[in-house]
Amino acid sequence: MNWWQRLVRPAYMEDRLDAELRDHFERQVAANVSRGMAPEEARRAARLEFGGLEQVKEDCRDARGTLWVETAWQDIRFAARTLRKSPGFTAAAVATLALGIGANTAIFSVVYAVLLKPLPYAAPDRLVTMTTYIPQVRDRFPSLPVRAIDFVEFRKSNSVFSGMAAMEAFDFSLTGAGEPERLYGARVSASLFSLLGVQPERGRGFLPEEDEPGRDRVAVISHELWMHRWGGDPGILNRTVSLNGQLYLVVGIMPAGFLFPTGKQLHPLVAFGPRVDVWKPMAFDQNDLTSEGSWNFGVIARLKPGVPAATAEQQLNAIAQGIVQQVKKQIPDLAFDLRAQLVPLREVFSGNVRQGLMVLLATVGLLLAIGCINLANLLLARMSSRERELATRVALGAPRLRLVRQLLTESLVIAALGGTAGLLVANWGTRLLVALAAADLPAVQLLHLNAPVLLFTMAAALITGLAFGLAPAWRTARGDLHEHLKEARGASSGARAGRSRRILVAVEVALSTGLLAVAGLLLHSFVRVMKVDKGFGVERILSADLALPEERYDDRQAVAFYTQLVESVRGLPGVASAGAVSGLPLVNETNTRMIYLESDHEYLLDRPVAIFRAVTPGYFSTMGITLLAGRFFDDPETLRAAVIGAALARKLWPAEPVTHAVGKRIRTGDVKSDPLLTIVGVTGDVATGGLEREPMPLFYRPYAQAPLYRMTLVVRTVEEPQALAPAIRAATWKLDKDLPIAAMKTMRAIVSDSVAPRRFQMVLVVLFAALSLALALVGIYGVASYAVARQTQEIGLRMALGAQKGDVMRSVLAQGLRPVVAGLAVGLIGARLAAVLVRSLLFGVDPLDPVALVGVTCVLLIAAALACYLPARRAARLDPVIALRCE
Amino acid sequence: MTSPKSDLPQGTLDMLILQVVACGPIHGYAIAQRIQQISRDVLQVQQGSLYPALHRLENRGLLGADWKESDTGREAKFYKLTAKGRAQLKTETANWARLSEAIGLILQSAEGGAL
Repeated sequence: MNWWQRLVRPAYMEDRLDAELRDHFERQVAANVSRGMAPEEARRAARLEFGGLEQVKEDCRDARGTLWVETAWQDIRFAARTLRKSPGFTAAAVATLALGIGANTAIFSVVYAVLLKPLPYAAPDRLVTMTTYIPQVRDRFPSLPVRAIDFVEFRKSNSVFSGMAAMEAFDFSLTGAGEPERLYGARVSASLFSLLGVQPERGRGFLPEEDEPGRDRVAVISHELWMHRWGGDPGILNRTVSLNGQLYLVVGIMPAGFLFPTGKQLHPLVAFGPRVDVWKPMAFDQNDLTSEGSWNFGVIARLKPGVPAATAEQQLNAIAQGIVQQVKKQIPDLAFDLRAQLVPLREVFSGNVRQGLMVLLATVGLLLAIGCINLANLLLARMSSRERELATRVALGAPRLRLVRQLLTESLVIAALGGTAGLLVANWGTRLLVALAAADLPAVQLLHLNAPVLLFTMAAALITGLAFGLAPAWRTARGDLHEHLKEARGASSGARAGRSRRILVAVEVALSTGLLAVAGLLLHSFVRVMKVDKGFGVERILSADLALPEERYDDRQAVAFYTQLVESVRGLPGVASAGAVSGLPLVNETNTRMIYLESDHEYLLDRPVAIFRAVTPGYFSTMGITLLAGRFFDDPETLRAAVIGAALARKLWPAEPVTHAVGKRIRTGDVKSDPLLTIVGVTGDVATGGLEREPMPLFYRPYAQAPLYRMTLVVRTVEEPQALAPAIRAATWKLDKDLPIAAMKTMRAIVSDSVAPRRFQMVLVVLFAALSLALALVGIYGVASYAVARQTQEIGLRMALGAQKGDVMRSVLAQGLRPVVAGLAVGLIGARLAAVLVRSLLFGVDPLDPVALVGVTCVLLIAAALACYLPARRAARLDPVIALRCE
Repeated sequence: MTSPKSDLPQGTLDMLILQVVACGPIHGYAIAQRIQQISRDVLQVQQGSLYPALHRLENRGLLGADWKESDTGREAKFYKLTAKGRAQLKTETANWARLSEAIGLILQSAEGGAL
């Protein structure tokens, strides 16, 4: 008979004991009968010999001893019974905890997935990403991707890495069977997959010889693309597909969920798509390897075992010195230096969200703390009404320790229920988080509840159970329970309980004030961000990304295509205007050029770098970009012309008003070889790289003079923009039926996406702060009602002596609000500290922002007054006669 | 039934039970019978001490138990010795032997001294 059976089948145990003794008894009777007694007498004799059956049984039970599990089980069952008797209390307690634990678990699972979980690569601790920087321009470019020519040099000469792989974004148009589709892709060194230690789930990775031009028409596809495009048909392996009009052999399929940098994770200047569908070998060609080659390539490397990153950096910097010598041979007087820096790959994927996540974690932690305080408060109130019950039990001989354990068990049972319900909340919450976070929270795709997260929940439940159970248990252990048997009403200890509860409410209010203040600051920051002058219109503008395959188009054909496309879209019913641009604001900021003055004849590193955009006629008016001076491009433009943004004018000619830039001439790109351009117009600043950042310098060229194959069509519509999407698609396919069109986005959605991380953070903090306020209000209300209930006689007496209803209400309100005001004062001091901690998350508001702080104070006071009003009104409506009689 | 009955010294009942059970699975009634029979009716075990002792030994893991059909057709609880019980019996028997030898020596020398 093991402890488990004893625990779960106590009735069975009893039954067996009974059967055993009965068997003995029957045998005794049989023996007596065989000795010649009459049956009746045989039974009587046996019974006499047996003595007290119940006593034997009791001794047997004692002999088995008591298991702690049995007592614990008793405690738990007793707790369950008690809790069932007060369903209101239980529901409130469990709901509070479920919310607190659920929110904590959900946020923790994000923190775990983003910051703690090991990357899904072999020995991920030794993976680093390498970038370079030029000390002379480091203020503008803290880090740069690596040039192809330098990458080759670094890889050849280093002895600190066991492998090095370069990569850049390389998108594809997939044509052939089915609708043409735009795929996000990457060019990667052939060794990348083995470097990461992830092999394709089917087929193979790239072979070393495929890293050479001409042999690189092979592709590895993602599991997701395989499923979505080919329905998981393994026959796709070793078949050719048409990518950008060329045939590629599909050699491998990566496993589902293979983690690869997306967006600007790897480097702000190496922008991958929101997912990567296709990989092809890097195969550097002569174009890539020129010394003028651009700083384009992201690099992932694996440190050899035992080599610290600092040692590796030293060696890489020595190699960089050699590169600098090479450059100086060509341009002797250039003040130019090159350094390499390594960052753990882990940080690429956690990105800059660490602080934001920590703030969220702290926020939910506080929410849970407030929840616990609330529960302690509820339990204290309950204790006051149970004091007589407990006193009776002590009087009947229950050991005090046993009572304390009983009370703690009750708390733990609530915590366990709350924890279980919390898991459901967390499960639902993480899904909500994933939906809210969209693509901007890195590694969130890998998010699910798992063992560490479950451990976290259990620990959270246990700790909260102990935390809020301790206060009442402590009071029981210490308090003089016998008093309650003597007095009819525990006035003295009631007062003590009232005081602890008021203190708890003050603490609750203080914590909640801190949270509300942070939420207020973030909310105000968000409003400020949304109010930033973007410099372009947002309403009723639809955009569509297009990429002409270079194989089928030359520059002249590309110009013809986009000119015709803009023309025909402009002719569609419901279209107000249309144009095309090589990069939309807030989306694509990687195409940059160095800008030189007409007087410059040498390479100068301190000249500004500006974003380059090619535009068709109609772009500026469609986007609603304002002209400060000069003109937009003519159609056709006869001059070698440029339109610049005000920010560039300020950089180039800081002493002059921006309007004076018109008519001046600049060179973009190479100071020796690129032609002079005449500035024909200056536009207002347009938000670049995010609404929160200073607008970057920017210049436009007429599309016909600087054709590109990848353009974005922008259309201003008369009605709801998405309604025109099918017509625009049809117009495009009329010109080229093989051209894939990615999902069309409204400008409103693009702006909204650009602030998604901030909104995500703000919404969550505001939500948690609101919940904390709700909890605090429950606490305030509870204490005020309790005070009214306890003072019924006193209030009745005062009313009988002539106190007016107003006086009674005022006094109840004043009493109820006293802890609130105290908590608020402390909370505002705390908010001051918290605001400093979150300073870097604020935008355009001071950490002592009066709008947020005054707002928070008002909200809290009004809400608290409302919470006290109900008990106050109840007090004012008391009938003195009844109140005086009330026991 | 007029032979004098003896009270068992503390702790010896456990040893007797282990000894009886060591012969093979046996139920409570039979254990009492066996003890009585072997001791030629000197030792009578009351149910009031037998069953708590059995349950205590079972709880300490010295005895195991199975419910099996018995000669009466009813199910009875048959006790058997566990490995731990067997070891315990061995040490207790040895202890007992030493103890009774020692007591015997003392009694003998006391008698001798009296002579």
